[in-house]
Amino acid sequence: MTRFSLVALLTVSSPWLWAADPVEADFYKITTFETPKETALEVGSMDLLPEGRLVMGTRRGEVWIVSGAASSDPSQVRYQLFASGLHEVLGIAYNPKDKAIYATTRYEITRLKDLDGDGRADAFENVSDEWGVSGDYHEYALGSRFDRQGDLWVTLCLTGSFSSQVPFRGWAVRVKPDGTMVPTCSGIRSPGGMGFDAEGEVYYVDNQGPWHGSCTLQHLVPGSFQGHPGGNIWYDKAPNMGPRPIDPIPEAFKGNLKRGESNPNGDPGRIVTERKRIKELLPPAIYMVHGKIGNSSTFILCDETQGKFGPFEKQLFIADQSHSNISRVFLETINGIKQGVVIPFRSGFASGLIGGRMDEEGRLFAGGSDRGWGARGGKPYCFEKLEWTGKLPFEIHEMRAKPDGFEITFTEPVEAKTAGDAASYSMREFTYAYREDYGGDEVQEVLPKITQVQVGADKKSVRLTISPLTQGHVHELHLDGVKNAQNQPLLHSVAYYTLNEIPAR
Amino acid sequence: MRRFLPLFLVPLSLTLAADKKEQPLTPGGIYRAHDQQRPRPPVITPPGWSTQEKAGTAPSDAIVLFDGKDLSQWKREARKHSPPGDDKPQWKVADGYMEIVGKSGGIRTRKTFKGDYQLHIEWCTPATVSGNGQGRGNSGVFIAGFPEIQVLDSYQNDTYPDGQAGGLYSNYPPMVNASRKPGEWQSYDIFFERPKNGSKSKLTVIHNGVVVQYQREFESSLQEGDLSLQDHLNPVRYRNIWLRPLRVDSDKVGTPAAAAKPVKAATPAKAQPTATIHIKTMTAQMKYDQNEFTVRPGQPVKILFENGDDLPHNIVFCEPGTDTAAMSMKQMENAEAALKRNWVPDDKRIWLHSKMLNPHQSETLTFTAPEKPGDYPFVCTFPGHALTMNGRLKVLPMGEGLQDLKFALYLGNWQKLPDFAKLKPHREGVIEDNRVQIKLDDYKNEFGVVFTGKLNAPRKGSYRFYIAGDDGVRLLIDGKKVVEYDGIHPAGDIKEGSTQLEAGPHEFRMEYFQGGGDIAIFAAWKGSNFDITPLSTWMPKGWEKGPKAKQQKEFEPIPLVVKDEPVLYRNFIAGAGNRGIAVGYPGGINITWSAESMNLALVWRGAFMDASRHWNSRGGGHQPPLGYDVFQPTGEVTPALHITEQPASEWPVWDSKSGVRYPGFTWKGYTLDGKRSPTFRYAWQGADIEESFTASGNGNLPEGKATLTRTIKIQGSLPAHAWYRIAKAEKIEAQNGSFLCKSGPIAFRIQAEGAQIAGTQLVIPAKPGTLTLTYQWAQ
Repeated sequence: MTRFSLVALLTVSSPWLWAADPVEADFYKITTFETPKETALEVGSMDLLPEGRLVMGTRRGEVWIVSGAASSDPSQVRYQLFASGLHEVLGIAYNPKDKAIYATTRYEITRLKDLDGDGRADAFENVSDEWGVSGDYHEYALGSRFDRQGDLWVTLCLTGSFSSQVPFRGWAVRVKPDGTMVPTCSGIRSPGGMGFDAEGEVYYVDNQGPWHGSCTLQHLVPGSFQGHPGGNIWYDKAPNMGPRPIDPIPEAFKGNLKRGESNPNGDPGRIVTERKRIKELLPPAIYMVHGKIGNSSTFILCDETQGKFGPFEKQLFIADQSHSNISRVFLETINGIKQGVVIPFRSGFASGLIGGRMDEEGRLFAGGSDRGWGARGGKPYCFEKLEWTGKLPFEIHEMRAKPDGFEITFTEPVEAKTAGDAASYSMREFTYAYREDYGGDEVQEVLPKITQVQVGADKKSVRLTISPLTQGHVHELHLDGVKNAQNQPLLHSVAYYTLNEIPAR
Repeated sequence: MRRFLPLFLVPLSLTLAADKKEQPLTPGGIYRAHDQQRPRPPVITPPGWSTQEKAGTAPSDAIVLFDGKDLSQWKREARKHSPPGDDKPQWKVADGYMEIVGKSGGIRTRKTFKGDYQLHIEWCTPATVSGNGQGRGNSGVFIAGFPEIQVLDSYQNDTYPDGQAGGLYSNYPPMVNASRKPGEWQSYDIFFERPKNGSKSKLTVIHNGVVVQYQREFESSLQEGDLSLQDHLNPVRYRNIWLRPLRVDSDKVGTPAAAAKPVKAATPAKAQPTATIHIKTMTAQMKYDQNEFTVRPGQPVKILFENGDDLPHNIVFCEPGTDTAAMSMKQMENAEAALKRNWVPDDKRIWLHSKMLNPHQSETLTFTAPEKPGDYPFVCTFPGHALTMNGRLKVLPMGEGLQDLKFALYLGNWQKLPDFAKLKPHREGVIEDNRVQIKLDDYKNEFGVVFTGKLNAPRKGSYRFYIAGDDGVRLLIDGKKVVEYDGIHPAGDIKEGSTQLEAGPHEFRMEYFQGGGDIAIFAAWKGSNFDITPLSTWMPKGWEKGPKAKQQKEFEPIPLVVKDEPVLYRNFIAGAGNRGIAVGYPGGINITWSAESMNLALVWRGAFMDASRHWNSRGGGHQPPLGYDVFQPTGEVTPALHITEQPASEWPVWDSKSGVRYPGFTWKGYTLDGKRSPTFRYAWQGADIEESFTASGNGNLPEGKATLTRTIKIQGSLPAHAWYRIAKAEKIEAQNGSFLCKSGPIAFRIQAEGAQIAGTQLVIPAKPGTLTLTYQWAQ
């Protein structure tokens, strides 16, 4: 054990000891709510109800209506059991048109109504149950809220998370208001959550596993192939989708051993090359870098509060079950493909986050459990609230790809000397093998040169010239030397940009 | 599993191993012959002899009806011409007897008495003879429901035989005339046996010690009644009247064996400490809280058995190899007899059992563990409980210890175990008590020890060895490494390894080194016929369990308790496919609806569901019902509706793999009524169908007449040859307007107007309208 000498500590004291660096909690405050004693509130999904209430679906199949959670006094929270006995509620959506609650469960979207007005659901109507269920526990169904067309989206985990034994496992489907199910994207592996961006585009997160070196944020463009070929056998049941795409090469990265190729250092089948071969294949918008950003991405929320949640308007906030944290994503569209940057945002939630929702006042409600998959939070389940304290954090605001590098903006002006010094930055590029094997390392590392650093006139942006940029790679940028006017470092000084496309000059 | 604290290092089995010859079970199948554990019959004071001069005394467990002093137990039964007065008898009481005062009326007991009983009564006709035949010393004893037991001076006094003393008036003469002279006291001992199921009421009379009526049968339904003595105008005297229960079940009312304190046998050389085991039934889970515990052969055992459930439970211990489920099931072949036995099977393999405990009762069982090692299964024999409520009592001796144990001390500073063969020992010696230990006062750090000895394998087989140490340890048998835990480390973790050994002695070698700090070494072994046995002086905490209990953790049950409204549970339910909706109705009646087949998939009674499988970890797998008597009306995930011209044969069968659902069906969901009871809705072939259920009776008790009523409403039109299948069973027979459906051990009585048997199917033409079916468990 290291021993401290009190004398030594006093003699080396320097100014930072007296003005400690800001921490996440200074800017974003977590409030942990008491939960009903009679249940384990394993929050799996969440939506907003009128009058400041929330509706939560749980892994134990309960639906709770929560009021008072918006209050600044957490003891004002009240819970009412609206329904129980459903099969794992991993999607919940309130429909203001019919005032009903739509629960996505294991094999069905169920419309819940309280006909007699006693506060408990008494009608459980099947909206759609057209997808298959084989009895395998991994066949989760993750549901969305209503999209702008009034559709619900469901991502359907593969059987055992590896293959598709019953129809539409490994697919994203849309359910129309009349209950019609429209198969929309194949290629899903093991979804963890769904959400929308400020334009209403639909995303889901997938988990590390076969064909996924890391968790990813994926853009659900109807007709696209999301990367795992397991569900492709159902194309004949989805005539709207056109012909089945060609399958990716299982040993793509290593070269196909059956064909006698052994090419451990080459990349005949890295996702960039497979994209050329498989026209429907859409690359992950973001690699939620495994082990660094998280291990198991879950809910996707967009800040549409026009500043009430802080300076990150229209950005996405993506939770992680395993790391019990929330990360921040800024997306842009290059050559028609979504890509962008993920930056750590807030850690320290009490359990593994699964369901979440932000209200119009910028209160981010989150809950979850650590059941079956451990979580750093340490509590078996939780329901919490994250609020901006009003203090502006010194953070990367946005990061955009440029033909020869990146442009980074900050939430407040940088100190020009450190920000303009190339030594304040370092970059590493890597990718994951797009292959059938489970998970994978960060491979094909490239250590580029930062050839030029240019601080913007307003001191709130920096233009980095990087050589080389590598298409398809994650560009991991460290900004350890960048300081603000108060000589404080960035609250989070690392950013991971997934460069699917390099913008043209 | 509970562990036993006292550790005996010398295997006790050696002193107690002599197998006693097993005694046969006594009638009733509960106790073996000469079982010292059998409750001791109650001790009573026997009756004092009566003489002609003086009445005897009643036995201590009798109700005294007349002790010679007063008639407070009796009331007057006035005759037509009786003098007026209250209901106090007007008979004379003097000198320890009562005497009839003619015309005052007979006397009748104020209380009634339930059979079976023994009535003792003494009587005496006047010494001065007057009259003849029926006019001489006439009185009588009446027991409700029987003819008069005649009291008469029948000494040399002829009358019609069915009216003489000892006769059952107008029915049976006595077998013999055992009358004493007039003026002498005579006795009747009368045995009344009340009518029981299928048997008549019976009367036995012993006159002056001689049987004169033996189990005379009469049609009477009276279970209890009063007694009366007749006023036939003659001054007959009575004395010493008492009554006591005829049947005393000493096993039930006796003193428990422990308290009985049998004559103390010679104390064994080494008394084993009593193993105390707490075992509890869990609420609404059909489980004991533990299903395995270990005791030593011949060890005194005290089981504190607590029924924490809301149903009756017992615990019944059987001989090794008993199929307890089959044994419990078998008693249902004669449920009536089983009920009389309080559901303890009449089976010779049972050697110990508790009472059938009512909810929240407890009982302590004290016994000596069998001498014979083995797994003795235990089970709850209440109907339907055996499949889940079972476990085993392991009787396992300790194994042998080491012999000829020697040590060799080496000096050195190592991080890992050195090759001791290349080193020269610093000191060597013998370990007297043959137990591995470090007893080297002069060396604290930087040394090593090699232990060598002999270990005798009692039989050929696989043996498991356990070691721990601070620091490195390695165990070798016959020069072959079995288990090793090398390097510098604290002693907490136990490592294990196993090896095959021939019967006979083997070379034991254990190597150890100490770097610095604490010193500890542990070794133990375990065979197929003996429990884990330490070979060292020191044992780490929890050594009895070997290495840390394997992560085969069963989840704590999460029973879904049904209170005053139905509880719904949608999940993977075994036997109901993948879209099961379980409903537990108040009163212990449960169903699972299948949203896969749009049909009733399961019906059961008792407890509802245990959610622990689905609410722990990742929640994989199909969970069977928690209750009992599970019935699948039409087989796994099969629809009730089908179009066929062959309703006896052509029914769809579920393909669990394809995930393809039955064509023509649309699942619509369910609504809950005011009582939160669901109505399931679906469409088939253009018709809208609703199905709802109501439960009545008590499903928690087998005799609770649990009934499930199913109402099917079909709206719209149906195609020709549409059939509704109510049930499929191995055997269906029409019986008194209902249908008895039997499949394996499950029998159901179904009422369905208009239904017909089609082979192994019970079907009804499907047409618009309302159909009502009732399902009842037939056992």
